[in-house]
Amino acid sequence: MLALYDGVRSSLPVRGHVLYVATAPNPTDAQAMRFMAQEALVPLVMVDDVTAADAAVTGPAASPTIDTSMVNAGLTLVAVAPGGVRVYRR
Amino acid sequence: MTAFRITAALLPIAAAWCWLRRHEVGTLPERVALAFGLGVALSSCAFFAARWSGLGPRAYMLLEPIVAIAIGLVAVRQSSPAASAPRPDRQRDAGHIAVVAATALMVMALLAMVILLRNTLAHPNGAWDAWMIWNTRGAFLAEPSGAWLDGFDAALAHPDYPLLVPGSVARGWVWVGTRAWWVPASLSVGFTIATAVLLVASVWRRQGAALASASMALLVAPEFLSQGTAQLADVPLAFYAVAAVLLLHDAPVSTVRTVLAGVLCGCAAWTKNEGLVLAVALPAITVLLVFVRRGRAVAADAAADLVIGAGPLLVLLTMFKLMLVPPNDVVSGVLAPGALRYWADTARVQFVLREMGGGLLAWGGWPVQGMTFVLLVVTALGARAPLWRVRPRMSSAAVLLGVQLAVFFAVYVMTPQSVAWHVQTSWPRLITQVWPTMVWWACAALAPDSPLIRPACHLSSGVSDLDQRTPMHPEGDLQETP
Repeated sequence: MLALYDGVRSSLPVRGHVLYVATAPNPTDAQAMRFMAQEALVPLVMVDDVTAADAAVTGPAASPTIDTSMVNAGLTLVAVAPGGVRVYRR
Repeated sequence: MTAFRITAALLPIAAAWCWLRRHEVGTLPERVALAFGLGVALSSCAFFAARWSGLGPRAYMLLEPIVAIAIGLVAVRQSSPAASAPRPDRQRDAGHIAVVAATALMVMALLAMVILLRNTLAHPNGAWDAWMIWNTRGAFLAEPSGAWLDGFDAALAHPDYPLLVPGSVARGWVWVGTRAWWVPASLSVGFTIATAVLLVASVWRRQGAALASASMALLVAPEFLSQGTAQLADVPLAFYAVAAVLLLHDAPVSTVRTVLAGVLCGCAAWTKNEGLVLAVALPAITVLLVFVRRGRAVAADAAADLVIGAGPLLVLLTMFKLMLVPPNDVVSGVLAPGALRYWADTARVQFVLREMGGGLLAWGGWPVQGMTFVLLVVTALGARAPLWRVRPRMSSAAVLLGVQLAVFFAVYVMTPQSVAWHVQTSWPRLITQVWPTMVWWACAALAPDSPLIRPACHLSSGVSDLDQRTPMHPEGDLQETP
């Protein structure tokens, strides 16, 4: 799980706040994956508020339909990792 | 190269061992366990202090071995021939009982090791809180750039939590050069083993093999072993708690042991917020009891020793809390003006009492019975003499446990969180924090006059703890009591 985010590091800023977009249907699993992503992407700080974020990263196996809401929030898709993790930046 | 780095990372533990040996603290196994705890805690503090003062991780790696080796060399050079001599052992059990008990102890230790290994391999990243809080903060602390300070961002989980575990994990990762999963896993298992070694060795020294074996049986409850591989801060806190308690109860008492107990209280506070309760309560109880029994002068000495020991760590913790991190949510809620109104809610108070009582009885993870059942068996094994004949010198440990449980109860009643969620998610871990101290107290205090125990040496028999402070020996701190 931690290794899932190795491939997206280069697409993200080196420091700052990043929106985490949950993909797991179960809230407990979503929470667990969020914290896993947080540990994997240190020193970035995962936040829930899109306006406070310079970039966004999803959980694994993210649906491409998320792209639309990200575009509406001013974020553009920049990478999709092998595990289905999608990365967006302003 | 990795072996060299691991060896270098262990130097603070070796330095602590040299220092403990120089001051003849405990028997060999106790000394090894204490050295592990002290080395980990103090190097974690030093690592954080170095980072906060602007020193990078690599610069710290150059300095730490030099300081550790220097401390070790000074301790070795100051060691007197008497200090390196083994302490007199007390053979308290009849021969056949000792053999059976020692065999049982070895079997239990082996089984516990297998379970620890199995748990670790099944959950190499530990429990939920390990990646939510402790290891994530460790990853921030290991970050070479200035971004390490982002680890205290309010958006992260519990940024105010003390840094012993994250600091140690970060230090390990910096030494190894990668975020290896086995660093926090080894640390977690290390504290579990150190707790068992310290507890069992202390009980063996005081009460003999039979009760040492019983203490092992009690300690290695499935729940404790599970927490012991969870990579959380509860077992480390349990280690510092029982270590401080047993050092303060060792007779004859010396300045070195009292200062060391103070240091361990400070380590407890540096491990987890609950450790602050111990860091305040244990010295306060100890000084109060000494004052009542021995008067102001001896109490003032004890207070000074404890403050000297705990002070530096508590100052660092206070600076960290006041200058670097947002306030703790639970503490802020408990101290809020309206929190006292919860005491008028009898349903809430009864709920907390019921949950804590039920949780205490059910804790342990045994398939059939809980903790009380096991405690009953052990006390029955050890105490054909009346159970209530607790040595007076054990009273501070009992009072400490009472104070800790009372504080937990008060916090639960006044918590700003959902009370059911708060109790149910944290109470088993809080029991883990006090469990080794409870076991030690049960085995070292509840059964002092068992027919299974055959007193053969009176090194400390009849001697109270700090209330029987003996004069300092000119060349060391040990002085046998007649």
